[in-house]
Amino acid sequence: MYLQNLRINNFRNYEDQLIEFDPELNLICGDNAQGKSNLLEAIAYLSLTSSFRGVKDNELLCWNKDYFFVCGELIKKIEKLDLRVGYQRQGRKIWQINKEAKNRLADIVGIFHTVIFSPEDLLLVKEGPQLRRKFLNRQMSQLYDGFCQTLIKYNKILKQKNTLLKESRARIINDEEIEPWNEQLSELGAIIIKKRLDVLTELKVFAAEKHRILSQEEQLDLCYESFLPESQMQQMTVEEIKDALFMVLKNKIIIEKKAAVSVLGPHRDDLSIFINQKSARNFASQGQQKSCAIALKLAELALAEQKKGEKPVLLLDDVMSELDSGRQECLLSLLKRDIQTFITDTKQRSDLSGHLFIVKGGKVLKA
Amino acid sequence: MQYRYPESLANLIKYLATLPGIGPKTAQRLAFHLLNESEENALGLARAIPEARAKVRRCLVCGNLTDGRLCAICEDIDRDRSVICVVEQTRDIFAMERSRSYNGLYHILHGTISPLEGRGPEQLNIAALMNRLREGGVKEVVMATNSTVEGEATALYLARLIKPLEIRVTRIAHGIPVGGDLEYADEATLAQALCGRKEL
Ligand SMILES: Nc1ncnc2c1ncn2[C@@H]1O[C@H](COP(=O)(O)OP(=O)(O)OP(=O)(O)O)[C@@H](O)[C@H]1O
Ligand SMILES: [Mg+2]
Ligand SMILES: [Zn+2]
Repeated sequence: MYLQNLRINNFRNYEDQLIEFDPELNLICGDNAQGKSNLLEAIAYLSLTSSFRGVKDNELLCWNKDYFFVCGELIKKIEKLDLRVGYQRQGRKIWQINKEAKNRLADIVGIFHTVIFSPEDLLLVKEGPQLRRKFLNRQMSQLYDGFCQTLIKYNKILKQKNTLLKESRARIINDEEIEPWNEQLSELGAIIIKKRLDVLTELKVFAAEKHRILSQEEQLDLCYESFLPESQMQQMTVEEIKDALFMVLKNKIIIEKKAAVSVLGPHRDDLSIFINQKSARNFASQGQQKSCAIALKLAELALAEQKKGEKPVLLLDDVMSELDSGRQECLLSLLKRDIQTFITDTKQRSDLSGHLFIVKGGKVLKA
Repeated sequence: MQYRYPESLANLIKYLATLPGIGPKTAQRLAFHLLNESEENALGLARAIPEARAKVRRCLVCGNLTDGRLCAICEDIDRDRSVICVVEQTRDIFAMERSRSYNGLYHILHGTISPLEGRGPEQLNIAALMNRLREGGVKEVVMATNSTVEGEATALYLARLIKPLEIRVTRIAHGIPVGGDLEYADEATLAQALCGRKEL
């Protein structure tokens, strides 16, 4: 698939801009603070319904404006989609696909599939588990119908349970009050864990392969960290994982009441990364962390292509500046011509042939 | 100077606009309608409000609305007294009744367990339900709370509470759309859901 064009209105530092894109490589160049990342953010917004930089919708509003909208035409294998999203200050977000209103996140996510690499992703290896869970959740929501819905429901239950646990500071909570939430968490949690394990089996292979090329022969391993060892869980059915999870949660009730917060479940799991059998989180050098993060993203891309039979759109924000020239070349060699790619850079590169866009003060000029 | 409605009219509009689903525009339209309406209708409406508020109470047995001590369903001798269907709201009874596939009694919880909204089991009409069950005669309790996470939690909580009494507890199989309210379920889906209820 590829994004044919984009209209951005009152979004960040863009007032009103219409851009036609290249189906292959789009180079977005400009000095610092001109709007390169904002442009990628607008594209990603059409795909994910939120900012990949993790900010709230009202921060995306151009200063002193009351609404913004982003629309674009997406060309897929068998159809052309008109995607629109509008946001009104303190108001509702409006979504349309081919002029038809959509109300649920699950109806939107996965239609315009994007893989994003931004400077924030360099923290994927070193930081806490939250970013790695987000990495899994984001791609799986786009890959599988219903996964997003399951996550949303899981989080609703979790929020209720955490509120209840917080109350235990003020009054005595009976275990019977906690169990209905645990029961529902186990049911959905088991589905989430099982699906993550399935994805990981395939993601591992792609990630190791990409990393071998990027790093010249280092060995990358991924491991899912949950309440049981991955190897054991791989042998279990969803039903068995559910029962096991419920039992473990039951045994944790005392601890959770004391902590006044839920301490176990897929929302606390992690994805460990190993380079040559050593924990990357503890031992990887800066360069190794970067290659590792890129390998994970390229694996996500390959997996999406294989699973959906349609190529996602790749957004690379500021990747080049973070890599030495050897690794830059490796990365460029891994990019495929038939995947629509957006790359932002402060320098215009002579070694890349694609459509060049110059960004200056919230305006895009085609060079 | 900006034109304003006479104070008495503005007051009427203000109160109408506090009703659910009524915005300022509709409130204006309704107010003008009431002014032009026949004396009998307009005053009838006005009188109906205090009367309903004074007379309507909760049924002492099930929590349903009634003008007397017991509701019409609890008083109906043709009803099967061995089954109780537990619902969240009074209006859910009407949805069930429309489906015409249920002839037992009801129990209204008046809400769901929801820590986020500060509602625990204590705030619900649960003690009365347990008293009814302990009196004997009931063979099955059908949980017909909504399929939201709160409705589900409430059903699970009650199922655990009732189990020691050795009464069969079932959950209506949700042919009802996920996250959907009982209120919006059409009769056919509801009838299906009732047939397919499963053990909890
Ligand atoms: N809500 C907003 N309304 C208006 N302008 C904004 C808003 N949010 C950010 N900006 C402006 O957008 C500019 C930053 O744009 P962006 O992050 O796209 O820069 P960039 O071109 O990617 O720069 P760099 O090369 O440093 O990454 C800043 O000048 C900032 O002041
Ligand atoms: Mg930037
Ligand atoms: Zn009654």
